[in-house]
Amino acid sequence: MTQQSYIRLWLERSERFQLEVELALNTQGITAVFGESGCGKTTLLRCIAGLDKAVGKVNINGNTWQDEGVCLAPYQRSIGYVFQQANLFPHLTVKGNLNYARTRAKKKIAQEQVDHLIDLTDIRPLLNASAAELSGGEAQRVAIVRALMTEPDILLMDEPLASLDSTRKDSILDYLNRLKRALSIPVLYVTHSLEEVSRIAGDVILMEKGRVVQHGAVTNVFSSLTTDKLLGKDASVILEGRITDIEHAWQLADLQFDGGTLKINSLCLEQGQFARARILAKDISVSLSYHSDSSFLNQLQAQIQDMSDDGSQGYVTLKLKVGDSFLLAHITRYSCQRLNLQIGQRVWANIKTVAII
Amino acid sequence: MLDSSDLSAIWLTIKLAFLVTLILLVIGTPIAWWLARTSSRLRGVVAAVVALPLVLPPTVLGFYLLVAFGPQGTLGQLTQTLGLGTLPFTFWGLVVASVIYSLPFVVQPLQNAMESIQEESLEAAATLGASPLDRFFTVVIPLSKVGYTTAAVLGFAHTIGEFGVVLMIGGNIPGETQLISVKIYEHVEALNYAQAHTLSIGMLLFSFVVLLLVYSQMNGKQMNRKKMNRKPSSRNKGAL
Repeated sequence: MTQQSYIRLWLERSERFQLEVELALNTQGITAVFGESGCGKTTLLRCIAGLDKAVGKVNINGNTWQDEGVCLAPYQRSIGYVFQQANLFPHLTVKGNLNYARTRAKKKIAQEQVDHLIDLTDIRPLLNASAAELSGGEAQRVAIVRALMTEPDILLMDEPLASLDSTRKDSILDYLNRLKRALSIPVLYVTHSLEEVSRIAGDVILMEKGRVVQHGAVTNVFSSLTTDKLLGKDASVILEGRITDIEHAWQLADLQFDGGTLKINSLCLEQGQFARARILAKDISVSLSYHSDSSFLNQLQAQIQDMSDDGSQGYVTLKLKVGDSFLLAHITRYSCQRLNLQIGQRVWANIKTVAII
Repeated sequence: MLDSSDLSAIWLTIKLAFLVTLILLVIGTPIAWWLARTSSRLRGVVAAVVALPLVLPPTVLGFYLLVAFGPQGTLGQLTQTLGLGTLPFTFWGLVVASVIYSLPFVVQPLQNAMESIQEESLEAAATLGASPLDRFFTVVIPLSKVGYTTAAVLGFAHTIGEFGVVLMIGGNIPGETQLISVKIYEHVEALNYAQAHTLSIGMLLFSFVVLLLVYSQMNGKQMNRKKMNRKPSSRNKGAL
């Protein structure tokens, strides 16, 4: 049985940097820890692992790793840790690296589970190779499997894709998505890439200056105005849904989400599959009426739930409610005044591009 | 060619070198590891003490060891209380002196190798459940393999080649403290140039082969994995 995990940590490294975090983690699924570099994401992970020392409490899956008077060393904690660099032991083979973890595990991992992980990540052909010979992508796949060999209570991943090129990143993200389903432990995934968050995370922790600003489901966190302010031009929402219809003649598919349907490019999509779409706030415009004479494929009826204008940017952010989902739209302050937009008003959201992720 | 006293000097020298190398690898390991990882203020002091034999005239070192281990010296009184007698002019006196004299030749290659081990490798091992001692034996030592080979070879070769310290503390007792280098000196004093020549050419060839092995191994490894190794420090080269 996996139990909820609780983390409360405090660390003062200098006058400029303080970490102050309190978290309750889901029993499973990937939680992305997202924020700019220097916001304390990596430090948080290292403190959970015990690699850095902070004051507070760490309780993972019912086991207390740190509390008043208790502080386990990293090797006594049941963690899987994937670093930015694979950090494989160059004097061992791939198999040797996996066995290094396996023989030291407190819980014995079943051979079937080992085989399953090896096959999921396609590292079987590499098993007898020396760890020093692997490419970056291969090494990182091995590092991920190695971290799981100890049957950890939590998997901590610190920007595992940061040192890889984009094709490699893509393939590892696919592997992670496959692994996600095979894992019954919480995963904390540190990244500063929005794309990685939207591709693999169920939940997201948004950090700024050592503090947690937002924590919740990806769809909720990204549609909040706080997040919008933090991300600026990169602000976007994520919609989840199923592909309900594919019109092959037009190469279009319907993505049905909570509150409506989006028409999207049908490339690589299958009927009935689960899909996630990301829509940038700057790709949404707003009109007061439905435009039947426009090329916009997606015009959704929406209600203005909230709006914010911090005056520094030249645009106004609208939070739009579409059924049970939310969209963010960046429009110019000029347009906002000309259309006399008010909270509560009904408008049409015109969506220029939808990226399927 | 070689008479029985020559052979006994060769045998004694090899025995001494083996023993000293073994002892040095054991005590050099923790010293090198500490020097490689500590941020203590004492680091500089310890590093300087370890390196002293590199710059000190061997006679100075031998002189102080002789005084310290002599019947009136502090260490000499200690060894006498322990029932070990006095060390000067015995084989074990040579062992102790050689260990001190060859210490930097073992510690420095080990330290270089250990400094080049990335902290992340050790952290990875820790997250995989390896305790500090476990990490040391399964990560640090295997990754310092080149350092160990170099250290062993240099320690061995340097012990074989010493003269000043040996003469000061060991004297010239056949079968007990008479080493090759001292024997050569004795031959020369007795104008036995032919015998001095035989031993000397042997030493020359031995030293060259040893260095050839060390440097060709270093170059090979450097080309294979540049990260894993550092060049031998210039101090080492200078002292050779």
